[in-house]
Amino acid sequence: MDVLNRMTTERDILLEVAMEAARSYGAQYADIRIQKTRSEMIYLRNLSLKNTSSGVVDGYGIRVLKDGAWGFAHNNVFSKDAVQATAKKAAEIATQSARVKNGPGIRLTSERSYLDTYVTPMEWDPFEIPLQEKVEMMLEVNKTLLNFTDIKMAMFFIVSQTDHKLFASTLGTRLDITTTFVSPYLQATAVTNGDSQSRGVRYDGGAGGWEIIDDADYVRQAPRIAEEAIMKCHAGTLGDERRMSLILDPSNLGLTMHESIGHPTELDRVLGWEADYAGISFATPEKLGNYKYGADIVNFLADNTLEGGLATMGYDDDGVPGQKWHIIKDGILVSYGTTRETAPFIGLDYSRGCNRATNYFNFPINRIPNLYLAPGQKRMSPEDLITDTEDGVMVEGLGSFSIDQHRVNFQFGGDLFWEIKNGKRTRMLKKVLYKSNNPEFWNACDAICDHRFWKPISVTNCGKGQPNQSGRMTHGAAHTRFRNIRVGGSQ
Amino acid sequence: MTIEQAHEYIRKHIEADDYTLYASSRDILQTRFAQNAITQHMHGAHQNIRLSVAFGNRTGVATANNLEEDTISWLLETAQNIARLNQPDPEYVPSEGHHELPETDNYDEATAAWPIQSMVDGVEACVRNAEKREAKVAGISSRYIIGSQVFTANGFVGAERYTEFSHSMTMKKEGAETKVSLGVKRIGAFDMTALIDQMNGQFDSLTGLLPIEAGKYTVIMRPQAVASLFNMLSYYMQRRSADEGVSPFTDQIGKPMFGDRFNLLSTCDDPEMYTPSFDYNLRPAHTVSWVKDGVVENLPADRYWAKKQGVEPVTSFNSYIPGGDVTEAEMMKQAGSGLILNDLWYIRMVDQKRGEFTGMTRDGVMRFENGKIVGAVHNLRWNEITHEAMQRLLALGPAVLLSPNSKVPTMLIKDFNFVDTTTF
Repeated sequence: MDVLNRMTTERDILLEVAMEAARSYGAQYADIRIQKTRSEMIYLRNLSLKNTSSGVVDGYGIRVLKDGAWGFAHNNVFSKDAVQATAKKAAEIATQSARVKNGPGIRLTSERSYLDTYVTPMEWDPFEIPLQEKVEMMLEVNKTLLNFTDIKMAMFFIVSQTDHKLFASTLGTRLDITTTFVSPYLQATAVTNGDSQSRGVRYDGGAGGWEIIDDADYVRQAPRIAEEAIMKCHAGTLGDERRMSLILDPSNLGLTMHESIGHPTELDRVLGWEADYAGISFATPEKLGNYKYGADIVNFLADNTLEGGLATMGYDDDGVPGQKWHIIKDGILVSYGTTRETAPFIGLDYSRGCNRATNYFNFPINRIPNLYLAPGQKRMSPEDLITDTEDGVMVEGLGSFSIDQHRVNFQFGGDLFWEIKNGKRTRMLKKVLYKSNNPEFWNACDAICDHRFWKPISVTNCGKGQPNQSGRMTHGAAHTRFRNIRVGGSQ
Repeated sequence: MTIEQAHEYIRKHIEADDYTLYASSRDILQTRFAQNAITQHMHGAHQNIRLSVAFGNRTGVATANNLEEDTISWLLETAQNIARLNQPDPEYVPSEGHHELPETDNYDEATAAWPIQSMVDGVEACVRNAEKREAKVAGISSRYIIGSQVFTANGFVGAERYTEFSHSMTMKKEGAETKVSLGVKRIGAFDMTALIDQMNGQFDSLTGLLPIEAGKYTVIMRPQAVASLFNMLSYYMQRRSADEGVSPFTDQIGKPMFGDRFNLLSTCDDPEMYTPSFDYNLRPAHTVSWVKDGVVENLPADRYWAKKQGVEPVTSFNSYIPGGDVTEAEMMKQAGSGLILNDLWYIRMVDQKRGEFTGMTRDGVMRFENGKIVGAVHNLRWNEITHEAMQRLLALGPAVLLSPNSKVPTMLIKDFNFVDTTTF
């Protein structure tokens, strides 16, 4: 049998076997997610191919809601007997779970059934691109970086992944979903002038195929990346922390919004379900509709239909279709990312479709959707923004990032910093940090560049849950300015 | 097929010059709870089969999650195809050869057989405790059975079996929020009542939180906070990055980088901790001293870098920081005033070359004055160079087991650098 293309019809039968078995064991609701994950990683460090690998993870997880409580069991043996036994085990676990529940237990929002397919649109399937072509491009980039004497470490890895899911639920839903993404990470580290500094490209990927890598043209970017890493070693520092303007480019703002908007508006965190590890949220339900999260120009849209979005999957792992909605509208908190299980706790009878698991053996959890800062309505370029700024710092790329477990206080760094004085970039800086908190930060936003400068930022390593799962979603922004933020050197 | 049969299949059919076959299995039962109810409850076993091959110094790797014959055949074909098409790896090192491996004792039948009913009993006890205090508790109970086997073309054969039971939980009521956790190899060493008592003690000391100014404070860092701090530092403790000039460990081997009260080892001599028979380099595991009396003695290195530098390839397999005999009360008396930290959170590197990290406090900060606890305060952000903080290490409590991979003491550290505060 072909490991990569096991017969779908056999699996379709197992979907029915699972649903029938779950019902026979007393399920109020059940679903099965058969998931085959195919991945490829090419990891290059200083011209050494540390890991060139191809992998398949194939199995299924069955969720049974019984007596108001969940049971989940998984298996990688594809037979009728194994599926029935797994459904039985999930039901038995649910019976045990029901010993410790609140009142009647879990209630799910109502949902209709769907028969549908979804496939990530792409131009070039990354698994069809010849390995030699990929490796040669990556080696060329690596060599270009290492041709600079002061570059001591050049790292480049690209992960490509396709997930094929067959989903069935006792609502009658049957889904066939194939999603593909690529995720590159490129970094050059310079050692000179008594310092060591890195410059990199991260969060450049997205849902789609190898065209994402082609379009990025890393061969062309490599000399600039090396030069900037070396320049950083010679750059000045900012000195003591003081309040000034901060201009963040999309590649920096992506993670800032992820941590300070995305996680606090996951409803499971709001409800305290992640209290033991990832933490909870200050953005509690009584704030819905009245909490001034940001300035009037701040609008955050969740959109699990976003083209190229990593959370664009057609449907979530509750079998709820992708949707688009406001999380923050005109600066006011108006909604959360929800699942069929979390939504009823705030009086909703519909889910926003944010329940996602990473692997077949993971229980799906309330995830950040594709979430982005809407571009500004006024015509404004990043250069206009700089010209309009007297005293500030512009930050590009990802650096250090840390936030408290209620998502209030945070400190972020960046990958490249420019001092701005009287409307001009004056010098490159290094080791810059900005500190702020919710709601100060987003209320300090006073300018957002227009849609021409909006860019997506792809996160493929969002850690959450116990056991930890690595989720993926896309953010986005145009260059944005924040006034009167604490900015300074480290310590 | 079994892994031995899979190995035999590969040995018989392989065309490549070299191979390493690695197989791991994990049987995991997990009961997750929040808001005083079980929210997720999961059981299943999964495998990871990894085959790396080489034609000369052209390498390829394939991975899968089952041992069916067609999968093993696919693994072999795929890994070999990648290797044939790949560019040469200038840092390729042939697979490890045969070693006589030490016996280990990391597996416990009672832990492996721990039933789901007992998992739920434990969670229920935690929930009833929280309900008595009109608080909410969230956490996870986990039972692991883990196995791994490795075979190489050059004759290495190794196998490991582990068990672990772990439990962590966070109790919250209004401003009071604290967490405890413990992992053990043997369920017989786990005492849920004692863990609940520890949580209640921490919880009761967190009423009436007061704001606090950022600044330098002498801290009593409890074991969980110490482990969190050094988990992140150990990620950057690599011989290669030190030799390449990109870490604070550059040119530090043999030098007193840390204070003389600080020691760090991976140990094979503690029966409570995991002691593998072989390490990541497939060499027989032995106790390694990383830092002795503040002096850096060794840094982890893979076989390629170790050979290039003419040193022994060593890897870290557990973290043991030997303690002292100073009690927390004695530390408070010694310091006079300061803060007690239960844990640290979201630790990230700020300046890799200097070894500066940032993070928050978490799960409770108590202020002490004149040698006595006077109240709880809000959490703080800190930016600190860890090895320099160890030069200000004033006293050590006894080392405490946190998990089979981590045993560390309470530390009294002078002038820990807090740069900001939060609202809770």
